[in-house]
Amino acid sequence: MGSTAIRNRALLLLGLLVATTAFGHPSGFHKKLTVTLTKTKVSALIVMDVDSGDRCLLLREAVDSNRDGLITGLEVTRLKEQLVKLATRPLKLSISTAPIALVIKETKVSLRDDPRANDAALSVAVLVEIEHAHPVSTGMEFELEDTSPDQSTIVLQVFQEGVKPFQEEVKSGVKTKVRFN
Amino acid sequence: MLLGALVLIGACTKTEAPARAFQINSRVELIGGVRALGDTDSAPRDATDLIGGKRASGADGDFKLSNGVMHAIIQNVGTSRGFGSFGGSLIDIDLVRGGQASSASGVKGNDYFTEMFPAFFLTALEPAKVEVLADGSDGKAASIRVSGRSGAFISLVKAFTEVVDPKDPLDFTCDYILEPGKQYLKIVVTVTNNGTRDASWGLNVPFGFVTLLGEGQRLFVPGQAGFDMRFHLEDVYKRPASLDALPGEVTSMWATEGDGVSYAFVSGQNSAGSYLQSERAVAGNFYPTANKDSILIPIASSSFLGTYFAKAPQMLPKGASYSYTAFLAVGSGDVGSVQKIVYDMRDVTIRPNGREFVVRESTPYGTISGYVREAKTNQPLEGLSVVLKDGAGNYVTQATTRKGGVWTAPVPAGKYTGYALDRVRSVAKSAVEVEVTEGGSATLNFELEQPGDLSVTVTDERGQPLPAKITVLGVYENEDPTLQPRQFFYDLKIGERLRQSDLITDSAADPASREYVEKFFYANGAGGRPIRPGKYTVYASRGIEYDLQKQDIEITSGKTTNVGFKLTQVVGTPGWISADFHVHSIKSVDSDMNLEARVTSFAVEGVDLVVSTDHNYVADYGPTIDSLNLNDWLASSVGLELTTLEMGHFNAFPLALQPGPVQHGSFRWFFRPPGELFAQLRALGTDPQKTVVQVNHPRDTILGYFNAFNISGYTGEPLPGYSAVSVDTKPLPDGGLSPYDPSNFSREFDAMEVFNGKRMDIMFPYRIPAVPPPGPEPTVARCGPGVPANTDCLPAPGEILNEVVKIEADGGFELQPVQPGAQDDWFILLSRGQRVTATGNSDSHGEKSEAGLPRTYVQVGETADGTMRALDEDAVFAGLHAGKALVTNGPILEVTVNEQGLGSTVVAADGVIDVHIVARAAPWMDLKRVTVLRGGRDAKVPVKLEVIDVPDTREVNRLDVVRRYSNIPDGSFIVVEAAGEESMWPVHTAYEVPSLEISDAVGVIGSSFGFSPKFGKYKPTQRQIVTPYAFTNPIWVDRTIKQPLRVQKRILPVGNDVPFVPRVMPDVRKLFHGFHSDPE
Repeated sequence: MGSTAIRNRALLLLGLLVATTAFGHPSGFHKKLTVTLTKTKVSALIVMDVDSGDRCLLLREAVDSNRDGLITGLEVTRLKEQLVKLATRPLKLSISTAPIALVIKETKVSLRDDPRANDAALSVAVLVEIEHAHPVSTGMEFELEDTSPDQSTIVLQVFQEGVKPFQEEVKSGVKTKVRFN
Repeated sequence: MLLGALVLIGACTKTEAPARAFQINSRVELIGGVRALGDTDSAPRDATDLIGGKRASGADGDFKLSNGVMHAIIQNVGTSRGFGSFGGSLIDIDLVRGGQASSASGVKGNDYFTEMFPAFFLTALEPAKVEVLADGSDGKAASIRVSGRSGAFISLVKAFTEVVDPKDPLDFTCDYILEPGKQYLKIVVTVTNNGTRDASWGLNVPFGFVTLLGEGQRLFVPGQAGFDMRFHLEDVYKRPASLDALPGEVTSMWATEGDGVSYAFVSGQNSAGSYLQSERAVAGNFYPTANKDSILIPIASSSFLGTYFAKAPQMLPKGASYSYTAFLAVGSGDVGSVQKIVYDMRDVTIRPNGREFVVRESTPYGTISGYVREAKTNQPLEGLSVVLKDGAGNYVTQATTRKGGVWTAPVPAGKYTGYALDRVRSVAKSAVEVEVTEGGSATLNFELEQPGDLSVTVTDERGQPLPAKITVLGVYENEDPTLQPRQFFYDLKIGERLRQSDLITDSAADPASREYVEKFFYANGAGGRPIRPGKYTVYASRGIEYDLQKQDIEITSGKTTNVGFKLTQVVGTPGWISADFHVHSIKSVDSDMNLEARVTSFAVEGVDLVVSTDHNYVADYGPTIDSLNLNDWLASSVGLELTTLEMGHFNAFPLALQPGPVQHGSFRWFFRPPGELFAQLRALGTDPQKTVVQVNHPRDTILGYFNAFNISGYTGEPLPGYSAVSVDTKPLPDGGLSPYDPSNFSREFDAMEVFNGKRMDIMFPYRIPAVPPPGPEPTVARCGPGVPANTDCLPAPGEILNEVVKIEADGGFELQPVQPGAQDDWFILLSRGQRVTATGNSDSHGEKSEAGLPRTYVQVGETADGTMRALDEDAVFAGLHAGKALVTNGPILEVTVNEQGLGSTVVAADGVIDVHIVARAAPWMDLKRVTVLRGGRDAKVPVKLEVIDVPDTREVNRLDVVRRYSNIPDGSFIVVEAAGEESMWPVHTAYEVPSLEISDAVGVIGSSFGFSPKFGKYKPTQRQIVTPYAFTNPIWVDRTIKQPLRVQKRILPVGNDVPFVPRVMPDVRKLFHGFHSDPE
């Protein structure tokens, strides 16, 4: 399969994503962000699960470059990159309106024990660690805005020492603010 | 027939109540008792009835275990309600009382336990969660699990823990397990390495428990110590210590004796082995008497008991766990009753391979019992103590006599002698030695002498009954002046009470050098006590404004001796009241003084106002004063001593008692900067802007606020941590400021307790004494030519002993007194223009620390005179805020500058002032000199304007002079002090036996690491006689009129209903690594 085919599959995938955006349904993408805030850095774990179905089939088939029906080696890496991009591209972080750039430290992908190029579910985990470029003090605000590929709600947990954690299911595309303790 | 027999057996089998574990959602389920929180006088009626005790450390939301025989409460997460840092501790434990077998009934309890939590060397479990692990509904054991991560409960020791503890925090669980029918808790602590790398300990590290027994439970340690761990541990500390073997007492258990409830603690065997039998300990023969279930007690004081026995694995691989087990039994009040439970205890677990592992093996024993009777009358004596000693000289057990004078105690097979004793008779020692075999029994009976009775009446000069203190003085025989009375006169190991002595070196030729207090008691116009037969001198006193009367008497067995006294108020203080702003009662975990005795102790010392300041507990003594009809003599205000573990102790008053919360308004202090604490304390006040926030004993070891922040005794500014034992000022893991960061030191307090109890040693900086004390020589050279200024050295006698503090920031150094004095700290604050009122308070926790010694006189106005029912409380605290106050343990000073009194600001444009000084004192105390001091912006250490010798007389009026001083600079203050040199015995007894403090334990552990005191024998001593001393608050002197700046004080409301949030955040990196991924 040449690069055109890959591009076509990617377009198909994009179309499907747009369709899910338009219609929105409970099964699809499940995104959870676990964030810890300290005075020196922001750490976050982004986990995105993709329910089994056409999206996974498209995603898996798109990276099965040798067409052996199995996702292995570099294909896994490529699948991971796709998923990481999907999970992190819409994420916008800022501190008291000053944007901060996302620093991805490590990533992981899970084929859910099924390496075939089929419609089995997928998961991706992204570890983000961002050292503050400027001092952060009590009263400043951590701002987070994320969009789920299918516009479904996102589970957001923000932890700070000695403060009750912020734990809510936030709407896709809506900015959430958490005060630094 | 077989069926019938089975039915019969079934019918005869006693039904065992099931064990239960649950979270408390009603106060009905709390354990009551003297140690239990819940104020009878102020709590809502319904809650009081449900709790049934005076104090309850358990509260709604805590967790409870019960099996119908005993019950226990584990605090939910939060800040400790005892003395520790964290919640999640065992805080209440008692037998189920009143014959009620229901595991959740509202019983009237007798909890006498403060707190216990697991300790991993010097690290504790910082709980994040408490949960019911097994509720017992299956008929098996019920259990409650506390889980969390390791956390330093004293940051002072971080220097040590950083060396020995694994780099990454470990996860811990502590399971409290109660089986049906058992009278003990099984406690299993598990350490798990959930990190990403192997964990290792740098040294041979002991694991165990920290227990805070509190007053009222007398510690008994079988072996050489018996009831005297205080002096026994001092001897133990003299033995060589090692990095691999902490110093301490090796024993089989610790037990307690108390009023109706007693406790015993033993270890289980641990598969990983015992700390006391580790390879290194065995190789060094450090614990020759240890066996597989021995425990080590490196520290034991009334409030802090360390017990170690488990050996941490040298290395805990990633994902691996390590567990150790202990048992805590509950008895009915004596050591014997709880030892029997321990001896009968057998605990077996099944290992994964199916084999049995014996965690605790039962101990075979026999029984010795008998009776105690009075010799002449043959009356059985109930409530006496019997202590048994084995043939090797070990104190083995203690039993309390019951109705009919009978007692019984389990003992291992062997030969025993015994002692019977109480507080009013001489000790009876058994005439014979008895032998008992395993399963056998033996009898040992005692006869004790009959005491006599002393009956006293005390009236004032008009013949009206007067509250007074009665002190019965005796003389002991001793020809060896090197011996202490405890070494020949009474035996602390068998539980005899300490008899205070005059601290004068004994002389065989001079009976006056061998005086001791046989008994003292309070007489509210009349009173009496049984006394051991003998010749005594009886003193009647009523504090420092009254004279002292005495009579010689002889107490005869079985007879009553009547004595009458008339006391006269010889020193009048019109317009002023005497107050004690720092006192404790049974509401504090380290005091066993009931409220009746507490308030009476103030009435008999002539104190006009007492402010209740119990540890982390808001109490009201008013109803007790009412019930004893002492209102004419004594008024009270409500207060609190916010007691942090290592940041300092802070009082606030007058407060509004909150009837709902368990501690009536006290709040979480852990890891909050002091400025916030002060603002929160104000919020508790009846009028927050008028609340007095007082820093207590600022230079008392780790209990002192100024010590915690390394405040320079010369500049008043924070110094860098200069000791190996310093609080942790490093930024928090989240990058935030440590609460101990120097920038967090707050001066937003109103009063400072400059004079605390009998502690002259923390009021003044330590100076080299003229006569060298005994002890090891210092390792530093004498100060003088050739010794660089930035080097520690030993100054001449009379000079302040300093140590050199290196300043890393600029490579320089500063000097800091080895023991800074609180009075100098106060002077420095005054020199900065900060109007902090100095106070003097007793900090009394019991009868041996006299109420109102010292006290603070406050100028109140006309309501100060006459009955205390009319005292204007607002005027008292307004006077205190304004600095219209005198601090004294005896002499009374009246001082004006240009005819203006204490707290005033005098404008002297020409710099000339007239100081009028009147000094008065009761005839029973001496006064040698009066000193006039001037401090100010130019004089942080005040200069002596003049030292005035006081005429050698015992007349009440000692001095009345006017002195003129000129060239007084703008912004000065004048303070006048008065001092005597002779002991105030017997009205004020000496500070004879300081308790072992946490800092002693830290010091001992520090010595294990090779930290030796460089100044050797030169160190402050707490043991001292009380001599007269008083000082005024300042009168300010300005050259021009200045408008005082008034700033609203910061108030931070305290929300008791704010849920506790553990400091433990999820480790995102660990969560990430736990995510399953496929190979790429």
